Amino acid sequence: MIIKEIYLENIRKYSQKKIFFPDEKKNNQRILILGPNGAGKTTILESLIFLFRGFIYGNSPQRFIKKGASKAIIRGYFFSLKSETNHEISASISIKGSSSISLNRKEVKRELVRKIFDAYWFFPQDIELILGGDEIRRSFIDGLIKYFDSTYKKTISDYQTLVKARNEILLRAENESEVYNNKELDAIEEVLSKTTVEILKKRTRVISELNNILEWIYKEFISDKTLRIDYKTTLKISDKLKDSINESLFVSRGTDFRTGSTSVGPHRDHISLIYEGRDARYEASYGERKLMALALKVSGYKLILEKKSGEVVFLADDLLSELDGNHKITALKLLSMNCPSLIMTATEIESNIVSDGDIQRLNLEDIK
Amino acid sequence: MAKLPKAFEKLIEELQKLPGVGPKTAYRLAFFILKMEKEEAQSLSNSIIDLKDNVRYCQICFNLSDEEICQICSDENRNHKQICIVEQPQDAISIERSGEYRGTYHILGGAISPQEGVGPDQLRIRELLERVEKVVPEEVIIATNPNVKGEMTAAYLLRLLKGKVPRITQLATGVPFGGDLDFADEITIAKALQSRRTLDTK
Ligand SMILES: [Zn+2]
Repeated sequence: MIIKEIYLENIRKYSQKKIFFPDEKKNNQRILILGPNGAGKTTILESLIFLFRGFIYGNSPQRFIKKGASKAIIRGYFFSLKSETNHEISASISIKGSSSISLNRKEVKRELVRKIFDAYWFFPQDIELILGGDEIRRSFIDGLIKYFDSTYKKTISDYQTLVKARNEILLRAENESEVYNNKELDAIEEVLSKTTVEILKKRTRVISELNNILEWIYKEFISDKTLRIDYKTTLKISDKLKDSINESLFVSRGTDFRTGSTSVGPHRDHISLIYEGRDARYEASYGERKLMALALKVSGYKLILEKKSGEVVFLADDLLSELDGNHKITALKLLSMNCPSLIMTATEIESNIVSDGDIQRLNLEDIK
Repeated sequence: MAKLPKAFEKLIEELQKLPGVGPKTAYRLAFFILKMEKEEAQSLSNSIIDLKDNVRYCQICFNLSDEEICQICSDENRNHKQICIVEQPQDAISIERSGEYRGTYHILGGAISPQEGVGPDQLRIRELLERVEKVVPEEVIIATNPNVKGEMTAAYLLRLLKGKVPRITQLATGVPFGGDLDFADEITIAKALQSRRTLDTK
């Protein structure tokens, strides 16, 4: 995709702002947005995420929308390299959180826009992929699947409904023996097992595809060590997947009755990063962990490119800070060799290290 | 702000009990009714009472009916040994429109949803079991909606009816996944009925 121009209205510190992107090469852009801290670099990336994903990065609408305004608007002018057509995309969000999106001035469903353009990213908070708990990596994997599997969102929400239904019956039961003899619970667990099979199959498949990319990327660009994702389910499973899940749920009824929650299943499964055979959380330096998180996100991006028909831009926010010289060079090389469509942000001083002539600069200082 | 007349406030309050009607809509509707001719307003109010007095549930299948027993249940040309279980009267109407089905219905009045406090006791499941024991149907078709609640209900009914009915089938593919039966078009329903799969009745 080529981003020609974006217009921001009432977003963070901007009342009204037009930003023209360098696009003379008529090809996928690799852009480095420069400016001092607080210049609004991250705002531009957040706005693109909101435009394509309808999602406000780590913030409530109240903080995204400029103080005193009731509604924020972002409008972008893009060129699709695949269909060779221009598109105008406009999205708005009100202080109450209601949002709308239009494509070429017609209001549409967000999915339609995502079929043409989409965004994937690395933000400083992504270090949590290494340091954080299983839930962060679960939502990373589930989020990734949703990029190219349009039914997965429903599968996950069905799963949550079923777990809540199961918990409700367990909470209502008067004693433990009652939960082992409950037709309603049998019925819920049967449907739950079916949904669980779906989730396990999709997660396992995506993780194996992701590992192929990740192991290669890590070896090729970072070090000769191995980094891979490991998935361990909390369910006791056998070859008869559905039956064994059903059995596993049945067996845990007693424990679950006492705690009032469902203790096994995809919502409790362990997803870890294994670095040289050990949990990556406890290995390596801060800089190395940041590179691991970046490698993970770039692998996800490559998988999306393989599986999705639209054009996807990779956004990397404040990547170079907190990395030493060698790690900076590694990170830049990793991005420029793997991300055909790329927008990065950096401060002026950090940018000296960027030597790739292919990367165009957009200095926020110049367009004030 | 001056207080509204009592009658006006009361109507707003009543209207807000309707699904999808918030304070704003209730206010607008109340104003609209205020401007109506007296005869029109009378007719609106009469038809609400008429609905409550004269439309009732069929004693056999719990579909909406003018009489004690509905038209379908009293039709001798229909197959009374075949019962199609649906969630709501409108689901039976959708299946009727397809013109493929010649059996009878049983309306559950909803689907299992423990979070919303709907379990087997809140649905017409006891009545279904009594009916099955009395009629001894040759086939029961479970046509709950193809969503999670409908699936939980179907799984529950299957467990309950196993061994009591020789043939238990379920509306198979064709009905759009995740969609409600109400919105499925008639051809897809017809297809789904023709290709319904037999559930394990062992
Ligand atoms: Zn009837």
